[in-house]
Amino acid sequence: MEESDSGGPVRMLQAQVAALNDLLAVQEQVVCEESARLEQVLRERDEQIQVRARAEKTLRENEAKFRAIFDQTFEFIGLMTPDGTLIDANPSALKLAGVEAAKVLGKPFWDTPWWAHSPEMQDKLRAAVGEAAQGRFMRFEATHPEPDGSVHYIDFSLKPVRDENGHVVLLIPEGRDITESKKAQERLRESENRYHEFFAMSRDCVFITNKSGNWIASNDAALEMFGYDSLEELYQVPISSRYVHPKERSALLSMIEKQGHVKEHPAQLRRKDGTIIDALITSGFRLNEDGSGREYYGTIRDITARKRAEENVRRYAAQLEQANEEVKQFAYIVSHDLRAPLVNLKGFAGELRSSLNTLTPVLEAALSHLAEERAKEGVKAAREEMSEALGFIDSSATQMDHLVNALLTLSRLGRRELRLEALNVEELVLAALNGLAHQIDSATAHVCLGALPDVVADRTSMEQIMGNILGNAVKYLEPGRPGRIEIFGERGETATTFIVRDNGRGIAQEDMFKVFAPFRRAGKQNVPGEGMGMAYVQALVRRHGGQIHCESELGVGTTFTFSLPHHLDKGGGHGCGATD
Amino acid sequence: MAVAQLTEKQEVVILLAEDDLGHARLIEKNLRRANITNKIVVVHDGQAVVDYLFASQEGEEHRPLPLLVLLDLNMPVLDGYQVLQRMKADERTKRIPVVILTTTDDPREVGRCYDLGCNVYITKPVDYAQFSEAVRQLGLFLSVVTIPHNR
Repeated sequence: MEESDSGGPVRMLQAQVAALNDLLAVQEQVVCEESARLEQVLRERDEQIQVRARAEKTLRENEAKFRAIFDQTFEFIGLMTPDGTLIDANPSALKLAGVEAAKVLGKPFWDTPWWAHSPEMQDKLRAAVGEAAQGRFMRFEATHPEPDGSVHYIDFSLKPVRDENGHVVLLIPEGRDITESKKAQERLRESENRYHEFFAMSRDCVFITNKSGNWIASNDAALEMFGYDSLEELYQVPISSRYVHPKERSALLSMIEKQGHVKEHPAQLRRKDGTIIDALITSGFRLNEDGSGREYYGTIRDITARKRAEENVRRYAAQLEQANEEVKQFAYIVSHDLRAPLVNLKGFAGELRSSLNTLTPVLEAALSHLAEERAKEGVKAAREEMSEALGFIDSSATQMDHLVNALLTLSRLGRRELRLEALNVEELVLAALNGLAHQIDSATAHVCLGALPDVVADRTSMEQIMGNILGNAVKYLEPGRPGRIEIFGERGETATTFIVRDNGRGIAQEDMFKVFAPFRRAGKQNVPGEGMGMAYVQALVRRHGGQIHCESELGVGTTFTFSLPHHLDKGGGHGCGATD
Repeated sequence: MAVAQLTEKQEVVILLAEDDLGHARLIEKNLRRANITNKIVVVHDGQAVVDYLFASQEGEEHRPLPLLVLLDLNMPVLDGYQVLQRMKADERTKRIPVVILTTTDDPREVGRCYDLGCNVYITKPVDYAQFSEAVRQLGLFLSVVTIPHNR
């Protein structure tokens, strides 16, 4: 092709070759361009593949994450189609119902064991699914029973999932077990109710105030306490203005400042009507919610009635003390002053007798001059009648003197100064029995001594007490029946008790009141006595702060029981009042 | 013998302070019956005792000393305690023997009188035999205590 002459076919050929070459060149270029584009496309496709691979990997990872969450989460999660067919459920949910996935997937959700227990719940769910399929988020509280009868409370929700066109394509049922928090809530509510009840039921006023004494809250007891009808009205007067003595409030506040609280701080507060109540305030404080100041909270107890009662008791005690003192004084004065005229009665009766003795012989001599009949009368009057009258005056005055002395003794025993000492009671009783040995022998009585604990008491008193009781026991044994006297004692918690029991003639029920009464004697008066022994005993036992009583049955026997309190142990000479 | 000694000392006057007239009479009668022949001056209240004692100390020498005072406790104006207290507080009268005569033997009263310095405490008896004996004993007592002071 290179051999070509000018003109002619060669030129033409050359031209054609040239044209072909051009064409080839063009084609070559096209091919080049095309292949470059192809490479580009391939490169791009590679990239796309890589991107997709990456995306798929991400997707797989995401799915795994999702799966992990779905499977591991504590909450109950599932998936269903908008018609309510369950297509997935996580293990938590399956565990709650105690079923395997295969048994429930593909079934309408309401026919699954989660709901089967309650037709009501099933209806509720079915309705909710209908709503959710329309695109609404549904939420309600469901219950799920346990085989043991307990109930799980489930916070249940249905969330619709839409596709890009806005159609609901999935529903996500979700449930959270709120049993615990519900129970806690229940407990909280209960405890709140309880505290509220305390608050409301308290007879004490329960309050919260600020530092200047303005009310923040109180219970209804405050109304009654301060005499108001409404809390609003009550709150108009700050508590600080209710103090009768403002000092009491400042003392209270400074005590709270020092100790952080006060307990039963006494104060007098004024009611609406101006009357005063005695109160005990118990209070503390805390910072209020925003930390800007203090709130004082606490209770106010109205002790007006209690205080009045205490005052009454104190007054009665004082009155009693005074009356007691007066009785003693009275007994003393009576016996003292009664003796003064007796001294005269007896003394001048003696003087009269002495005069009569002088007069009688003189009279007899003078009378001898009179007629025999009249002389006889005169002598009879002097020797018999006047003498008899003087005898009665004299013996009555003597008897009266004994009575007065007995009264005096009784009144003295009641205020006898006790010399307290530890006494060996057994020794003391043996000594008393020794003094009665003759009577005991002649009554052929058997004396039975039990345990006799030592006591702290006044020796002379104790001797008189035991002496009198034992003396009576011996004195009033039933003749013709072997006598038996038991003596024993026991140290109790607050007092030592002694018991003297006999099988003597006993005392009739209607005579029992006479046992401790002065000058009264029960039963047959065939044994001498002035009737004061047991009155003395009672006075002495009471002087020791003790008690005595008597049980008896006619013809069976008598038991005297008396107790001496232990507080005498600590006694320093006094402490013998019955009440301390 | 006590009575003899008392009667020998004619200058001893018995001052009897007793507001109960009957008692005063009985005491006097029984002292006489017991052969006590001393002069007996009877007054009826405590003030009269004080008046007698201190008037006799202030110039009126006709009132003889020594004295024995028989003092009742329950008396008007000044009672026995007050009289006793004044007598024992005064140098001129504190050595005069005082016998308390009263109706009660209450230990507190007895103690109080001895605390105030009385020499003898006698309960007025209903039975005067006992009383007369006590007064006789007093005579002995009086002769014993008055002699040293009269020297």
